[in-house]
Amino acid sequence: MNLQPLFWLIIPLITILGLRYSLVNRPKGLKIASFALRAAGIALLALTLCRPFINSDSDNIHAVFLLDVSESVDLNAAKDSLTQIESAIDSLNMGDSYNLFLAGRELKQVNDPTQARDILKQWQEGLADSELRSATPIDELLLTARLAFKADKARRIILYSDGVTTGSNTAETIKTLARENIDVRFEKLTPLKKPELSVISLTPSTHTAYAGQIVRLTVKLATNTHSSPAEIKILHRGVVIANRNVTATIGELNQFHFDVPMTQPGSSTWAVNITAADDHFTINNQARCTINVKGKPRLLILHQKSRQIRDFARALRKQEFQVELRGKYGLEGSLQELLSFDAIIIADVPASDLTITQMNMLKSYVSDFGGGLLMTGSENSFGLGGYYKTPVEEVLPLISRFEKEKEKPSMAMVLVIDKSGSMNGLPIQLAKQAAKAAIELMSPQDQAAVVAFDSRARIICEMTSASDPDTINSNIDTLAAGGGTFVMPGMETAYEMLQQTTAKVRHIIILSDGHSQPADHESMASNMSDSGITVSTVAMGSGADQSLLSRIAEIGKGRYYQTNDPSNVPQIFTRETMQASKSAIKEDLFSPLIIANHPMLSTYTDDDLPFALGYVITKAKPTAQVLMALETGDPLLATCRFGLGTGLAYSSDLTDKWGGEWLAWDQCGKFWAQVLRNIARKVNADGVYVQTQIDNQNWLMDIKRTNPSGAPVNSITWNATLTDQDNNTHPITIQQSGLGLYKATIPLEKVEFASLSLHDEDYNKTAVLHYNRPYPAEYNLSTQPDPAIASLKGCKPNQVTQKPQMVKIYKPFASPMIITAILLFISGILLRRI
Amino acid sequence: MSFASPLFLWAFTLLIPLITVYFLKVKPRKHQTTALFLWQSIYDKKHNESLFNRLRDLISLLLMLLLVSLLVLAMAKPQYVTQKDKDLLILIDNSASMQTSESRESRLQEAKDQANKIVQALGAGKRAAIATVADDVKFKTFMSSNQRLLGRALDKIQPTELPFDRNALKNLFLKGTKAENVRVILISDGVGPGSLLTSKESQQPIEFLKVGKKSKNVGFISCDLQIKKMNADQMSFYFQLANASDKPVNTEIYLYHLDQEDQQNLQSINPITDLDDIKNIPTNPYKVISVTISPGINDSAIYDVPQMIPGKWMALLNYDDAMILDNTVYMTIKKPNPVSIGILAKERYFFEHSVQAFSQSSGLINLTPLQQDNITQATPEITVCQTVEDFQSLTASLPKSQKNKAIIFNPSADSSFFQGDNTELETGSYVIKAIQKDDPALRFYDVTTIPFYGAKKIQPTQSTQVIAETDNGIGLIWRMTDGNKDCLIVNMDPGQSNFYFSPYFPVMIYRMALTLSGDEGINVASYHTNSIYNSPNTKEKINLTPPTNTQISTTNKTIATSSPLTQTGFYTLNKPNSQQFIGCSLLNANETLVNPNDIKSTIKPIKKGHSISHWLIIAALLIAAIESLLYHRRKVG
Repeated sequence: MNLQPLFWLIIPLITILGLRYSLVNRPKGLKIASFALRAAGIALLALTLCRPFINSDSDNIHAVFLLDVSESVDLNAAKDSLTQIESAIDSLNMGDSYNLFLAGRELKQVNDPTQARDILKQWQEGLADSELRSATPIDELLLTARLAFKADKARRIILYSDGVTTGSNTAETIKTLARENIDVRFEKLTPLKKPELSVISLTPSTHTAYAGQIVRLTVKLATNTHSSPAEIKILHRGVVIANRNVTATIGELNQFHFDVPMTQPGSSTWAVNITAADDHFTINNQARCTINVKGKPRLLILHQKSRQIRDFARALRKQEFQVELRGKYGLEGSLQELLSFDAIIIADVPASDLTITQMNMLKSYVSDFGGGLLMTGSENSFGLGGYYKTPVEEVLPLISRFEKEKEKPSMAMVLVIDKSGSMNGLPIQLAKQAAKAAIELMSPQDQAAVVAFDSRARIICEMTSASDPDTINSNIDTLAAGGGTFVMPGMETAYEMLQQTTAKVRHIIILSDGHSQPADHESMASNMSDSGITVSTVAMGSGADQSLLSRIAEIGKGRYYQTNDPSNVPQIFTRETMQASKSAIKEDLFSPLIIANHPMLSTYTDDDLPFALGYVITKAKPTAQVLMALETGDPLLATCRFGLGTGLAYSSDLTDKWGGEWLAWDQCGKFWAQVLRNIARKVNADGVYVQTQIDNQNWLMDIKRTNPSGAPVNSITWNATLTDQDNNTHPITIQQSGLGLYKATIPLEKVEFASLSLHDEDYNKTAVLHYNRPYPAEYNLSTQPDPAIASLKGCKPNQVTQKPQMVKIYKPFASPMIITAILLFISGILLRRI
Repeated sequence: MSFASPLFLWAFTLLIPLITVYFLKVKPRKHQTTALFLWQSIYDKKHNESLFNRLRDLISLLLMLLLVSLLVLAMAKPQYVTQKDKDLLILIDNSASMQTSESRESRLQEAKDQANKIVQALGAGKRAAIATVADDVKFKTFMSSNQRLLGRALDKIQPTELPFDRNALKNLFLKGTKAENVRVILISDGVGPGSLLTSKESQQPIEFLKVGKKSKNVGFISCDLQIKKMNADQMSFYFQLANASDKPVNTEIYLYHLDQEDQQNLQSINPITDLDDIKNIPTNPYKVISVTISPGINDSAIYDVPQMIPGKWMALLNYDDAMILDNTVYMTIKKPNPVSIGILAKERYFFEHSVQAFSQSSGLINLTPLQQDNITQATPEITVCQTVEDFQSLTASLPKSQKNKAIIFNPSADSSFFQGDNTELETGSYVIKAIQKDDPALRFYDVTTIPFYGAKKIQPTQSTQVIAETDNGIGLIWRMTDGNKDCLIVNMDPGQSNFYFSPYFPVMIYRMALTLSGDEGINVASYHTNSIYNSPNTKEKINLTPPTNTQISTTNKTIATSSPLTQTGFYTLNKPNSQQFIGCSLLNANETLVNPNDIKSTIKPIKKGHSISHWLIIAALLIAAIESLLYHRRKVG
């Protein structure tokens, strides 16, 4: 009882004063009796305020039925369990209660077994609910079910499951529930009886190897059949390196070894894939692991015509580099794959052939993982390649923007932009952004206009000098999508506008994402071409009239671009603007001059260096260090630190086109090897020892940092970044926890695979770690029930109410006391009146 | 307005007997008197009060009707029902920082008081559940409308020594439960949950009720004790401190070495509420360090301890502040387990001598006797083989799945591992290059000055890592890793020119053995609470007894391959023939910095105080008293 309100008992004492000085002329006995009844009533009320209660025990039970409906469970078995649950519900006594949940990735509450049966039936008939059925974190589900319980009833959870959990803390959870007096019972469901073969693990004999070293990969398989023939393939970068036909047997270890050579230095991701004739789930047929391979520096050169840069690659190979040549789409893949290279050279690939994700990946590769990035000059490099204001340009020391020389011809450009309804949303926003970026690149003597078209043309911005970008930009902002698609009026308006200008170079860029109404676009393009106006076209998305736009570009002597990714449009526009102005390239014989004392160029003098036959005009960023310039004063070779890595730009090229003299130079390979070794990723993890473990969706990391003599290194400034599968980067905090010991906790929610760069800024050591999420245990049909679950007691339907733990309940006793008080008051009044 | 127990409205029928009683005519009492003059005064008095007299019964009746009505209404439990009235889940933070005491009571007590107020005002029929949250959510009572039960659950809440784990709140609810009908209220000092309460990370909106005031607190946030690398007879004591107040604090750290008796005495003090209780348990501090602790997190510091004494150590920050828990850290240090080395050699004396030379001084390696004719009798971690043949016989005798680490001398083209010819290189005809300069196998000696007597012109048949070679590209030291094999191969015959006697020979074997053993393990002097202790051997089950060995129950010991550490002090790791101790301390900067600045209460208005019924009963009680007083003064009835 809460005794605090007992001070109200003072009230009956006060009323005694009334009795003491009573004027009532009644028989003494009656008077006192009447008063006593009143005082007792008041005292009872005062006691009522203390919330009196009566202790009693209750054997009422609240049962929570959790029916596992995950992929690993046979739905027919789950249906059978519903019959058991129905019987169990029928056996509940009056005062008992229950909840029924379908348990998968989360709990789904159903009203009764009938509703549950309907849902299961729908699933069997093909209605997909793969999200719910894709996991069974039994520990989390049990904890969540607690909310259903009531305090005044005994608590029992009956789990109908195959016992396979995707959670990791089941034993602890069951202990917690026991402490909370929740009785957990387990009824084993028949696991899915389909032949199933799955990969348990792919384990390398070492996570750090040297190029050429043979590493043993151990594949562990599990099956639920007596003999399961399968083919195991070991893949490296999508190529099958080894394969073997094996037979897995139920209950056996099923361990198979593959000795594979580590051919490529860098982070090397290996995968195993199995194929079997009888196999229910395919999601569990693969596993991955990553091995860090030390060896020769490895270079990736991207060139849209890779044959042209073979000589240069050959020269580097002689200098102990491993060089891989790839075309313009060579950046496909993940950051993990990119990390197998120590430096990347973008030789001749336009920005429009790279996605924004890939460009961000390159940026992260340099800034977070210390990679080196070199861009060499070409018609598709720097601004000419559309790299203006892209993540790649951020990394490079030379920027695309340039002050055009006065003697260069002035340019008038009309941007003809499709504003039809289909452009609504992101496409029109990107078109606006693209138009603004294009205007920004023009020099003050240039002019620009913007025409939008749907079924008719609308002038968004009249022909305006590019020296007034604010006016043009504010006009561009008024652009809004809506209406049909008809290119012709837009072309006509642009043609008229350009005819009235006196600019030397006149250019139109048409952007459209739909099929135009029929008209003689070709004649118009021909007229434009005859008048010295060039036309480039951009077809955005698969719905664009690609044949028409490519014809217009062909007749208009411009370039045709096709992109399915609207985010490429800004790169295409800036590239077009630069190319149309024909001013970013200089071709002649230029002699390079060394203008900075840098280790990259040590032992070389101006006299040693061959001529460049052409280059792209660029300007150095304030943070860049120009190492070599041309006699014109334009930068030739510049470098800058970007994050942990280095950006390098060479404004001439290394093919026969402009670099013939360089390729013929006997020191070419040695010179570039020296330069590239300087920017290559320096993964030096000696003295950085990392111990990791996964706990409750966290990647726990203990780092030991020692010097060469093994003594701990303290107070290190760490720079750690996690890059996930979507190339999103997350800074990681690392704290010192002891002598040379550091620790970090990395949340892994929603992370499928990730790379972690651990950079010791004080001693320039870098360790790279990788995480690959295994497939959920849900899909491993040969998994045994979790021991903690398997050890739980069973529960037949008639046992649901058996021997529940008695629950102490506190029955309130206030109301009887109040009624008694009322009766006392009435009795008191009665005694006054008789 | 509605009633939670409308059935009690039937009690209004009690008004009928009440009214009936008032119909009874009160018979005046007869008094005999002879004094007629008195009649005049009685008459005058009665005349003056006639109207009031007529109403006296009625007023009494009305008061009693009101009284009974109030009581009947109180039983029916009137309530204001709004849609916002949901069931409540009251989460009480019982993490370490809630032990912070301000004036008389701790933050935890304040949180319990706040929760009690909410429970007392719980609308009739509305339910609440009480749970604690630190490392995870633990229910103290499930949904109930019984305020008594809820109050008792609150009383039972005890503080923990765990830091607040944000994941505990993140995983509180999954979709699909009835959570949307529940208002979740977290009563906490805001240390730990931090931005989680204001961000949308949590699936369930959590209302936050802040307790606690600004407090003075300093404490350890990390600590370590390690043998000095260059002098195994000494130790280094590392620590980092934090200060939650705005002013620097000058105090000292006492570093104690604890013997068995000290530890037993420490165990008897639970919980520690006063520093003086523990300060005098060990006889004398081993070292006293003066420190000035600036506000916030301080730079770490390292002090030398002149003597390496294995066992249990305690450091105590001698400052009386709001939270004592973080003023002590418990550390253990042990001598490292030496790497066992076996010798397979005809001239085993010299090899064994090399191992023994270092086993005595460093203690990091020791010699395991190995019989040439019975190799499997003992299983040293690393075997030194004088020839490749010795290694091959070792490989043949071991199960294929067993790790096989070896240092192999005298490689020759006769074995399957090498090809070429067995022509020996002429000493001095080549220059030695270290290919992997930083390789730990080359530490403490200059490989370029080692005379590789008897080196042969051979090349490995399989891929290996070259650690040192000649300028002609002939390997001198290789590392071969292949499946379970991990070997360092040295292209020399140490028997030639008595290289055994070179001071470099034992150094070479010592370094190579440590390199192969992977001496990179991480030894933790003090774990932090809520960390997990993993068995060094994944197959070995741990039998761990917590520091407060007062509970005698099955949960007292954990038997698994890993175990969470939840209490500060020394855990005992019970092994069949020995015991090992594990230090555990709070070591959490968040918990030590007990004054989070940026966290404010986000709780929406909630009823506190007494219910309507409570006030109705009080009103009835007063009416009963007043009516009684008036009756006796002949004003009513």
